Amino acid sequence: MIAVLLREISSLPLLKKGKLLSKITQIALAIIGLGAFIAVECFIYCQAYDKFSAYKGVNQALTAIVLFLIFFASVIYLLPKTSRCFFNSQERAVLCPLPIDNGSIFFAKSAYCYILSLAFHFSFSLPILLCFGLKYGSLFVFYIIAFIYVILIAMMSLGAAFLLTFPFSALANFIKRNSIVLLVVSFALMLALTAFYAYVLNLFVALVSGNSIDALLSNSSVTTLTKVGEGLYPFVTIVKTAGRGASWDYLLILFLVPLSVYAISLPILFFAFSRFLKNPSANRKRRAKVMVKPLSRPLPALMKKELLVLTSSADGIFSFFPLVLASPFLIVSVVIAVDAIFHLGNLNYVLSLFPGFPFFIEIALIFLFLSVINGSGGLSLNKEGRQVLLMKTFPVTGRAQLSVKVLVPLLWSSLSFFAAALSLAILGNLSWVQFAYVLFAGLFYLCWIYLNYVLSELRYGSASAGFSSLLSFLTPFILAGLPALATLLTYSYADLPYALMLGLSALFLLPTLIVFLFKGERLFLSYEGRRL
Amino acid sequence: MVNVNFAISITGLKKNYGRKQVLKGINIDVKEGELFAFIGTNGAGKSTTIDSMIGLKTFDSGDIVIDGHSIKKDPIEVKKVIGYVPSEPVSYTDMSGLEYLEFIASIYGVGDETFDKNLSYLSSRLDLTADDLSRPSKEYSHGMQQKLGLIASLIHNPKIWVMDEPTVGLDAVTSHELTLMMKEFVNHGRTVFIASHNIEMVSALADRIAIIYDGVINTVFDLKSDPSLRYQVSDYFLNLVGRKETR
Repeated sequence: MIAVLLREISSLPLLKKGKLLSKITQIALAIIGLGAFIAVECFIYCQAYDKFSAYKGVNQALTAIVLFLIFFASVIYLLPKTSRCFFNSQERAVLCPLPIDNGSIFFAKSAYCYILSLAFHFSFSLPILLCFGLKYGSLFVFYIIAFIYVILIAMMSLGAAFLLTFPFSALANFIKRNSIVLLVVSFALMLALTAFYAYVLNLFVALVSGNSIDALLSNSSVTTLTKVGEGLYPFVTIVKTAGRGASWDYLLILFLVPLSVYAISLPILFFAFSRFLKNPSANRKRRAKVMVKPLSRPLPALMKKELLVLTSSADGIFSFFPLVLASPFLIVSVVIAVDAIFHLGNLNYVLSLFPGFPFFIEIALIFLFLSVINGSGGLSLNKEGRQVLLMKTFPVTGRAQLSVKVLVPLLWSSLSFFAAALSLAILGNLSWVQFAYVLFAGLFYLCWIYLNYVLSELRYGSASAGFSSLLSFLTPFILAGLPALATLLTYSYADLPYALMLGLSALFLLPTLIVFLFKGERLFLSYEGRRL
Repeated sequence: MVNVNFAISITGLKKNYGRKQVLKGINIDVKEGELFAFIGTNGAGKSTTIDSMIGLKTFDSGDIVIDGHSIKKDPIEVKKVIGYVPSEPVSYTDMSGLEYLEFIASIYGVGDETFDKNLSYLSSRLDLTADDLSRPSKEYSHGMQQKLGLIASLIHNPKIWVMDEPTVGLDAVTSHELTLMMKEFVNHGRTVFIASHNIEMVSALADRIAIIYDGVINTVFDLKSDPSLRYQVSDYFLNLVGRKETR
């Protein structure tokens, strides 16, 4: 059992084998990143707490809601992990022949999942409770109960995840087998995440701008919020102990609810796990016979194949198509938020000094989003893996194959970007003149992104290697920064900065396009990729 | 100089991986209608030679002429006439077997009628059923993936069939079926070029066998002219690599 537990722990990304310096850097960055996130989380919570102090008794309900949201997030976080941990077909082949009983394997895996859950709640629930305790002026015993809460709520999160693991796993397998369902579900999830992101962004903007919470919530909304928070057991029990101390009824609920959920989930998951170990594919049905379709010509066949490679990414909802479909919503939300910060908040004095400043910030952010979102579509040679061997044996020129690789994702990205730019123009965040310039500059930039990625993959075996990777990160700021600088120096707010932005993006694209057209074939023939 | 009497003509082939020289000047001529086998130890350069032939890898010097076309100057023409079977099966795993074969046939410009005919014939010979072909190839066993790769390599009626360890993962019946198919292929005037570790199989099957050792061709056995050599290939090879047990 210990061996199985240690093997699970060693599979964590930070603990995998690698160079010592690289490992130290990764761990340091992870700690810094986590610390930064916790700091932002506490900042937002404390700001919200101060804003809600205007309303009597709401703070406890707010804290209960925050703890519930963290619990919900922990279940979402744990679900794919427990699914992979308990229903892994490849691991089944390794574990089944070993002289270990199913119970030992199950408890080792449960212990590993509990460690993950505990780490999650220590990172995200405990800081909130500590902030609450400090703000509320709680007794010392509250802090002890807070630690006990974290231990117990980690069990409850795990229990909830265990109860949902098998249906989640079955649903995920069903969705993965059906491309259209996968696309629809991914798009819906991305849309929901984007809407949630936009809401949180607006909240953050309101808090940073110094607006009172009335700007976001009406009296009736606050009352509803309070009622909801008061009903969230066992989350509300921990916050109530801050006021009344360690009263027995609250402690009883705090212990009973998580332990009960965990206790119920264990036998259910164990039953499903044991069944899986015996026969993982019992319910798999064979598909009906597929009729032979008329064959297409080489280039259309390559384009269809390219669409398949893009849609069959292992990144799930963060694969190319869902991201591209959601990016207009994301871009519009961010631009609206930036506009709000500069026009409504404390930063509106900047506009008197530099009226065009928000535009350039928005452009930099838009181009940065384009770079990040479309990156997953650009890494398409590496995505083919060993299939790149097939590409090189086809009687189709390398230039033609690479052109398909660039054009197929570029078409989708261009449509997505057009939708984003058009939305901004219709909503009034961009003038129609700005829309025209931004559209063409964006399209040139997208072309550059894809060509640059493919050429980097051919040259270096990875799009993230070499100078081109640094350039991909800096380019959005160059494309926005230089026109902004020119505007400042010339005091011109006419079309000059937009024309400069357009010219710069064309300047980036042109040499890359020339290299692609004249050297692409040779680079493709020399490309050996990974060991095939 | 282009030599049109040979299906495959490799001249002075050299290839380095960094400082390591893997191929030190390979010279091979394979006649049309010949079953030519290529044997050697791991890392001797068999796969590198094949990879260079099919355009998967570039090489440092020399030339490869296939069906009268140089791989350097006319790579597309060379690829049109080759059917290639890699050592590890590879396909687009999210496609069904049938979708994958349709894709390959489209790339090679195969007509619908020819495709239907070839698919029907090859799938029955290699025992890949319609039900199997309708499933995603990621659900296939290793042997089924290898069968799919074999069908894909022949679906466009190539002139030259290049195979790198084709029998790995195949059951005995299918392996036997494959050897029959190879014989039929050459009987129709086409050429087979096979790299294999299975010395017994290639000794029984091939017209000529080349042994590659330390990046060069050590010996070529002409088994068609002198069938008695078939029994000497294994001993010679084992002596060469210093592994023969005294009996």
